[in-house]
Amino acid sequence: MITAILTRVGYALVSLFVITNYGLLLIGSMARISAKVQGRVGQPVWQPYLDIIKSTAKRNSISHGVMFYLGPVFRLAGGVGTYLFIPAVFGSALFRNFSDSGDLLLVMYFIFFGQLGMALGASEGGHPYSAIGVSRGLAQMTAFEVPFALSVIAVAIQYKTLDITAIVAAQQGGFLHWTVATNPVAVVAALIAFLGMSMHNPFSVVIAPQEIPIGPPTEYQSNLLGMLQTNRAIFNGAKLVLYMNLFFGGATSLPVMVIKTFLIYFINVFVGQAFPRLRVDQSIRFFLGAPTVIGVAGVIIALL
Amino acid sequence: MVNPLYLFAASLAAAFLLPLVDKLGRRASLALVYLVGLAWLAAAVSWLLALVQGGVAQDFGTAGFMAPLAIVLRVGLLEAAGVLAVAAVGLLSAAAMHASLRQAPAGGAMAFLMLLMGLCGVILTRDLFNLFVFLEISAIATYSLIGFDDRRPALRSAFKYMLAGGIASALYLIGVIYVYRFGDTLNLDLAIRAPGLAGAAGNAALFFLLAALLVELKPFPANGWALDVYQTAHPGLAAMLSGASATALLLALWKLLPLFGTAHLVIIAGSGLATFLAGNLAGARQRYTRRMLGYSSVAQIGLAMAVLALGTLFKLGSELFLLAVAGGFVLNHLLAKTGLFLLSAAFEQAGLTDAAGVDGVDVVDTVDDAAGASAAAQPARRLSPLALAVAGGLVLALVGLPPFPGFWAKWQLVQALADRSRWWLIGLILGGSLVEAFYMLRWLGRLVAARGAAPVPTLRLGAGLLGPAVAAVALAGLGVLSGVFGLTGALDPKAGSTLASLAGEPWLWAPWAVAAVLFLLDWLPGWLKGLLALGAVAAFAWLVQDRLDGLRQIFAIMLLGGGGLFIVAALRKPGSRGGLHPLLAMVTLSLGAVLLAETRLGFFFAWETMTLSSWLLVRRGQASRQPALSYIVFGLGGAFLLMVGLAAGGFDSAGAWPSGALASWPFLLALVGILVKAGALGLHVWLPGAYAEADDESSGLLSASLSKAAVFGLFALVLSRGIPGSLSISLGAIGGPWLWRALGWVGLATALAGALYAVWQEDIKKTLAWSSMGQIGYIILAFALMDQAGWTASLYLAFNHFLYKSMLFLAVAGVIQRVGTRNMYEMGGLIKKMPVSFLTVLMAIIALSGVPPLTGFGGKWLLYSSLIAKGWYLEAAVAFFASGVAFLYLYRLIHSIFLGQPKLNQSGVREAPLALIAPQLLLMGVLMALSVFPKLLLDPILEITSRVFPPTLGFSGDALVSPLGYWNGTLTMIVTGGVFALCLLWLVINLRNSQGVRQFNIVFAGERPLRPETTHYAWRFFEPYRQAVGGLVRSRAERFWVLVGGGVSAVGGALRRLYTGNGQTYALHVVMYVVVLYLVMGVVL
Repeated sequence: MITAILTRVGYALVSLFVITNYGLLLIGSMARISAKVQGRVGQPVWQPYLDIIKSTAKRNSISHGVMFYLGPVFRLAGGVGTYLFIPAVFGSALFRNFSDSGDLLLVMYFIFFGQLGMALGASEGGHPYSAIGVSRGLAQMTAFEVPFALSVIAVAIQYKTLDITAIVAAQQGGFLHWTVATNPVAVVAALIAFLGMSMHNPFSVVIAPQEIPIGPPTEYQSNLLGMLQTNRAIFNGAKLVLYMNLFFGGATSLPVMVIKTFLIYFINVFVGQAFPRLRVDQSIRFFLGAPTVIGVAGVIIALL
Repeated sequence: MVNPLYLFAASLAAAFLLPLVDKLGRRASLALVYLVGLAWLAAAVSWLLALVQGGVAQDFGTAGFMAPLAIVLRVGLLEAAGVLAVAAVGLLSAAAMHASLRQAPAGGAMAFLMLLMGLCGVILTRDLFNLFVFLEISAIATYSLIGFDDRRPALRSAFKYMLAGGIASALYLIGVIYVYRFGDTLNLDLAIRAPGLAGAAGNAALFFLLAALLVELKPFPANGWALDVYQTAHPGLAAMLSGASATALLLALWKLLPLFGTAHLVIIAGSGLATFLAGNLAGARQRYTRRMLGYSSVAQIGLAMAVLALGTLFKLGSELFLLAVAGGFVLNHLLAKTGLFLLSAAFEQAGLTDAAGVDGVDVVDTVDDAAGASAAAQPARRLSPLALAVAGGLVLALVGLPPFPGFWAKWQLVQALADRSRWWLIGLILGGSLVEAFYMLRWLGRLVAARGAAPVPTLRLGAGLLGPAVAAVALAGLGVLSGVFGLTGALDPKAGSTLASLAGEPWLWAPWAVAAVLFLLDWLPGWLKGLLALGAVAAFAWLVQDRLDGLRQIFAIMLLGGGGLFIVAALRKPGSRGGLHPLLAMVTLSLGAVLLAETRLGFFFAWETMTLSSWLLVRRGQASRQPALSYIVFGLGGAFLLMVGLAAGGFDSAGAWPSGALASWPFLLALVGILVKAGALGLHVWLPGAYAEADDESSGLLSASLSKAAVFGLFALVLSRGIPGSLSISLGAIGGPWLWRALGWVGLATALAGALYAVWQEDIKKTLAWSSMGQIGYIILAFALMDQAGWTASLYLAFNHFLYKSMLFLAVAGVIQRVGTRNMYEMGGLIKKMPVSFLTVLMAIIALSGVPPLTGFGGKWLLYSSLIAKGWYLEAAVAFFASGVAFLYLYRLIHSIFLGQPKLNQSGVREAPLALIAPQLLLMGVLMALSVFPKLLLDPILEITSRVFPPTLGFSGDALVSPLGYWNGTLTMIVTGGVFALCLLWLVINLRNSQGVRQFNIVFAGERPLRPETTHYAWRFFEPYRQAVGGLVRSRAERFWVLVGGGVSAVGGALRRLYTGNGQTYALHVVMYVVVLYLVMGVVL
């Protein structure tokens, strides 16, 4: 019993270690690719590591209160937890994680755990820009969740289950069995939602990365910021793995996972470089428009 | 039995002696009047006693002969009761008019004596001409009594009365002549059998009698004169007219009924119903109390008249049944209206010229205006609790709320009409009743002064309150008797068993008993009353525990447990907090009664008790006048629908809905009635205002517990019987799937609209109110799934909503108490001042939003799993959207209040009082326990739902497994806890040289923030969101109901224009009315 528990915990830690490093490298490489597109040299691929080390090594940290401290803890726990509730590699005991805690619905709702905690922590910082960022982020979130939920429903209809492992299992046997081949419309809706979820352009107004610092992390510094940066890597990884599992046939090995998630993430960069930023009300109207219709179409196709 | 002739002789003798006695002083002559009144009263009581103990009705001939040689007086049960009523009202009125009778000449006292005697004669005589004589005596006495009042309006109204009365007398006399000509007799009993009255000529002859009586009964539109009299005459006299005179005339009509044929009955019924409707519609527009009472008076008399005729026309039941129902209405009206007129007399004597004349606002004011508008026009003096209780009792009786006689009569009438499928009649009667309830309760609501404002002097009513108090006590006593023994029980205990009663359900009276005791003890300190109320709830729960099956046990925790928590919360403020504890206890126990009711009448009784007591609780709030009015009008409207549904259900012998009936319209009506209480979209307009404006602990009780009574109502409705029965349901009996699909969309629309509205509120309690509405929407949606998973989700969501909404309201009550505002943007940064409240709110919003690992996620998981499994995909997507919207207002709630920049003027704020913190801690504990071990809650729920439906959900180890997926709450909690601990460890390890900074020390673009007000981002928090999706919610329902209210008001206004105040017009009305009646009779014949 204890051995079994320790084994699972050990596996989970290894899995976490892998996804963290992969996520950091992914962010670094994407930043570099973006730079190339814009004709800049860009940062080195390992820059995210340097950022985290620098932040963590700061001599002192400013505190606005207990909740302020707990914000990054919630955020990181949210990212790690989300990842741990998803089976990362199909059929692998090492990367099975704690996916027996719950099905797809658990993952979809656990995503909010970190966001909510972070929002609260940022709020205690007392900076108006944090609250503005949260209000924008939440507002946008309600909208892009609609096409995402519709595509998830389409998946549930198609495979008659919400169990992620079972969904991956049903897509085995070649490209034509992937959801992207069997119900491409639903996947389109999901990928549009993914753009919003990743908060890249044109949906980046939440943190508005290029201008004055705005958004939830405004007041965060030192190792608190380091935790947020770590989370960004893990959380990105978790979402990518989830998308891969639901729509792109999952992965039977680590290299396959790396390739697939890299390509999915690339969609972000691709769109982000091509479109300008939208205002919040514009992006809400956008998500509730065409993507929702596409999502409904995806559900109808799944029913046929 | 005492021969009534002696009493007539005594009355006449006293009247003749009065001028002599008056030489001894006015006191002596008035004493003589009282003495005669007492003699009538004593005689009536002795008759009643003799008759109840097995005596039979007795005829008394005059001059030693019997009919047809002489006039006969009859003393039967009804006559005795009628004389008793007239004498009692007469004494009370005389007492109220004491001062004015002292000022008037001796003729005043004489006229009063004659009025009393005339009315008794009208009741007792069996001779048609003698009836005319007594009618004339009482009419002339009334003219002169009005005329003794020197005010011009009174004189004018007396003259108008004479005009109308003159026409009526002439008609009656013509009728008598013809009846004698065709029937050869004037004795009523002989005339009934007279063959000459059977033909067309006889019909015409009888028509004249009838027309005269009807005119005297003040029918629409020939009643302008009566309204002017009610408004201008001395209120004591108005009481006499509205109470005693109308009773006597109705008894006269009842006596003549056997003479009449179908055509006459149709006329009576039609005229009565028209009067009832028109009177109430016009009454809704009244600003003056006494004229409003006048409208209500003519309406009630119209109803009683109609019931008498309808009973015979449609054979609604035995004669006893009819007497019980019509008698119930008459008795109710008699006592209530007498009491109210006397009360208005007392107000006048105390110097309040027109006590809280209502301001003519529409049924549904816009919710935002309500708070502002109601603060302005409060009466300058407030009533003492006793006066308020008396006024309340009288008005509630008039409106037909439990436990007063009108309630039982209404139930019996609706049941009987439903049995004979007379739906349109039910609609008319209940519609009119609702309008009447609206304006009477509006008036009552205005009598309650605002609390907490500057102290207002109490109005001293003194002895003037005695009459109304007697009437109120009599009403309550008779009402309780009617309830316990059946409606006829009050009249004749032997017949009690023939009509429905609550004889078998004593615990349904618990709310009333406890409220009565606690109101009597209202002078005690608050903490002691709180303990007593808590003890009452605990004792009730302990006593009824054996009667609770699984479903009821779960609801009992929510309803009784919730009530207990908020009673504890009420200890948060020192002082007596008058009325709060009795009402909290009453609401809580009425919720318990809803659970326990075993008959349909019992269920409806408990439901009305709940509606009524919660209305009083809402009205206790400071600026609650308008919201409370919406609350009670919608509550009563819903209750009426429920009543019709329950009455018309056509239940089988086991009390179950007949097969296939769940899609039938009685079921739909009952369903809609319950949805009103649940606040479903479209029927929700009462909700935000009521929740927001009630006292803070009361709001919590309404939202967390009382809304669950509506949820229980849903389950009870489907689980056979129309009332909670055993958990046996035959699935074949469930209505068409379209019904449930539609109900599901209603729930969904409610959920979405509630969430969206909540996003844009600045008022913290309004946010929670809308949020409650939204959460109930999910419960309805899950309920509508009609399978095991759906019902499991519904019950689970309901219990969770109880938990977290209690926590939120408790915490928010503390915040409001400490900062003194409900506007969220005026708060900020309270986390350091109120850490426990913050923690409560934090846990509650995590649970509400459904974020794992807290118990709320279970609700979301169950909901989506069951929706997708059922194939309700679009519903699932919309529910997902609505759930997302909830994040918006929840974040805003906690951010604006507890986080961000603290306001400088709130630096002295402390944590909430212990009375609020202790329940919060308890609820947090429960929430955590259920989060770690979801089985604790899910096992009992699954046990219930698996008995009703084939199970699809089940536990495998700690994991709950559905056909689609699984959820292991315990493992989720462990993983989350572990990961959180790991991250916290990481933080602590890397935390070096942490430095706390002061307020405003933030990275603010090189600038120092000026004030918290400009730095705390809180006002219009989600403005971009409103720009994007605000179009989804545009208060359509509110506008619809404002239109409905406006329409009703406009019709009332138009009807009112008939009453020009011109005597000639009024006389024309009377003549035209008679002509129209005659023509109608021709058509019906």
